[in-house]
Amino acid sequence: MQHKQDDPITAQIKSLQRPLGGRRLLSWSLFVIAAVVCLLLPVASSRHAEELKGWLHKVPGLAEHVQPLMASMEQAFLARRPDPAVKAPAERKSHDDIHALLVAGAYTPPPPSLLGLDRVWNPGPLAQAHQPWANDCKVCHSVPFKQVMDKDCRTCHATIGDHVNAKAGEIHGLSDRSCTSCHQDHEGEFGLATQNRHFVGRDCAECHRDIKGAMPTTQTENVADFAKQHPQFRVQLAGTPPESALTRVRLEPGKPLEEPTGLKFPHDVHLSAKGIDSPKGTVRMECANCHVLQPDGLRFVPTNMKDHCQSCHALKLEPQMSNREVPHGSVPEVLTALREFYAYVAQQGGLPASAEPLTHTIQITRPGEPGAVPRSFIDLPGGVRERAAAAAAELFEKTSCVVCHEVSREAGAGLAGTPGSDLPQWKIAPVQSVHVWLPKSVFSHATHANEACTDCHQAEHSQKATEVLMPRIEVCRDCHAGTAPSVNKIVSDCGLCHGFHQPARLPVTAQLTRPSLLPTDKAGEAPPR
Amino acid sequence: MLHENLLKFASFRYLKVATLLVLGSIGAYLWHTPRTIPNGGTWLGYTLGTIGAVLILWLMFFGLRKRAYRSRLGTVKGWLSAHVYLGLSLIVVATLHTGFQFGWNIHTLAYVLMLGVIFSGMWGVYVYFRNPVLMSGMLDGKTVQQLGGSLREIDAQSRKIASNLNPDLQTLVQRSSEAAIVGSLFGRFRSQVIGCPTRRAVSVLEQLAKAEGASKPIRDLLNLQFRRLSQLDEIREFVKLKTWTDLWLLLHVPLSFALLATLTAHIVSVFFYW
Repeated sequence: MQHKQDDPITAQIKSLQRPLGGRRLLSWSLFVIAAVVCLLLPVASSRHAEELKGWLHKVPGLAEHVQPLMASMEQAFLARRPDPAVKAPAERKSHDDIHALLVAGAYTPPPPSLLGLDRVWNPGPLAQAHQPWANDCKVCHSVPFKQVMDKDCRTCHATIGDHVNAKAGEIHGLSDRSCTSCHQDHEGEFGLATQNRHFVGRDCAECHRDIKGAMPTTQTENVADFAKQHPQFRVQLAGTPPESALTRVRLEPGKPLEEPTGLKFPHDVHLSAKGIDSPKGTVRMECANCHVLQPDGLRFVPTNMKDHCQSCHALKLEPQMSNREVPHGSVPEVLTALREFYAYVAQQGGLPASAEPLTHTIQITRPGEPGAVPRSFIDLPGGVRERAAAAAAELFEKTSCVVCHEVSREAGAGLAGTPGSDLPQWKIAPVQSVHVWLPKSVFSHATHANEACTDCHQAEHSQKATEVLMPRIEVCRDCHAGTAPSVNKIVSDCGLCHGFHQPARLPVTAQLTRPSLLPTDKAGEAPPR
Repeated sequence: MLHENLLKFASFRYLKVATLLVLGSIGAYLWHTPRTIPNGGTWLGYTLGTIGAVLILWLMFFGLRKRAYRSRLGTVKGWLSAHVYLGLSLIVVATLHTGFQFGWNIHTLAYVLMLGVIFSGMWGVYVYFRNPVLMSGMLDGKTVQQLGGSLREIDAQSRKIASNLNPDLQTLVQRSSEAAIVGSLFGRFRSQVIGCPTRRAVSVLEQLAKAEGASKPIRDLLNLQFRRLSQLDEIREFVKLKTWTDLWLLLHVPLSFALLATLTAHIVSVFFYW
């Protein structure tokens, strides 16, 4: 037996019959390598950078290669860190429990990890704006085993301000929110605000699904989803002057909303498919002739007399002359212009040399109203005052002002010290100024530019300027689904239109305002469409 | 048959369990609407991740269980059946846990290692069914040891014949008898051995035997060496198949150890930088 065991052939066969060796060694080697690279080094570089640095220095031959690399990487990380000396802009100081801390430089994130060895833990792409810190984990993850805290975000976002006003912030459901409740990174390259615009809905619905139950006094209706449960829009309307408060009135089926504008403007006449008379003949008007989108793509440039009306609605002061108009201004300005003009004509014994004769005639009376324009007021009997008064009466009550404005006679003298003060006086009803109709949401007209205006706003059938041409929610739902995808519709999360407990996601200039009612040259403005 | 018991164990009990787990996971994934994009950090992500991690630990525990001969905790066959089916179900559970997010990080490394372990395991099941049948048909019903004994007899006879021939032939026969069955570690994966002394002896003797008036001892020696070479080749083919059969475990076990370390790092890191 002994002989056979020593036999080389037997020995070889025995060895070949044993399972492949080295499994245990290979297993533990891989285990150790994986543990070191994936766990121990990242933890050490994050928590024990100094010790690790000292240890690396001791490794012969490694120190001279690693040391400059360590120094340059640390420098690069620190250079990208926000500068605690950068102060918040002065005008935002009101929110200041937030940045008191930061402005004082009280909080600085912990030093970067050694060589960024913890970057192997990065679970997915950061939002584009955060990518410069992709290898500097501790700039956000400042305390191990603790979720990213608000102060970590505010290291950079010092001026972000409160998302909720202080009082609302005390409400259960909002008080325990942190930045990370809504903004979660490492979920793709799109920005966190963009992310919220599309994904915040479920969080909103957590409370708003039964907001009436939670807060019985609220005016807000329960909302769960744009498609399934969303109330009609509440349109912010002005009262009849001098009532100046803006109130929000909910659209209801069969009850079209009206808002006093102080103007007469029939959209249907202007948008008639047959066209409308103008000095250039019959023209077909379009919405864009008067409503020009602002660069923000949200709202429209306020309509005004000079740019949008006056080419047709001329304010001719003397029918014999084509090139002179009274200013589109206050009543004293108009009366003064008339008074001075007829005084000049009387003194000179005729029209000024610059006067261009009338080359075409436009019937500038309101349709259906009788009364041809007298040829001229120059030859009327009486003095300058009488001629100017007759011209004023014609202008205010028949041909011009009254076409668009509510005009009424006013007893007594005019503005003291103005030449027109001895003429009869008129009062022009105040014109409602431009204000936002839906202050709690943002609607981008620019992104809807491929739709016809009249798809949503029934302007071609509107006879009065007081009609609020806001579409009902059903019109939006023609294209917009809720959070659940629907065939041929746009998935529409709350964030698509709404900000988070903010008045609106509008630029500061769009803050809702109600300027004083000016009977001056803003009188031609109409609410934005 | 052992292999029948493995897959059909207890009327496919663990196939049913694994199918339920897979269908349940897919159903939950389809039903669940994550807040943003599907990822491991949603409640479903954490749930699937926990199931996956527990499964991995349990699957690795099989390595201990199969050695615990005195254990009464089920049979090894039952454990292996469950090991195979639940291991396969892990592909679905872990993939859904990722939410199909992959990147150059330890999380995806853990996933890739896990797939490596599972695929090597599938290879293991395949060779477990196929190769023993092939191997038992290979050596004409003889064992490798019997073939080894036969080689020794051939060598003894060859030496005897060669002792009456010239010293060159004696050396040739001696070298042939010392021929390694498998040249190196890598030789085990191939049946060919480059520069095999027996093959050389056969070719030299063939030349001599072809010559006019070749003596009987030369022809006998050629016969013996030819038999030696064919038996050697049989052993080599057998060893090759056995090596490839064993190889899966050389991947399966070490990869699973690397997975264990990476999985630990994955779990720790997720909460370390929460």
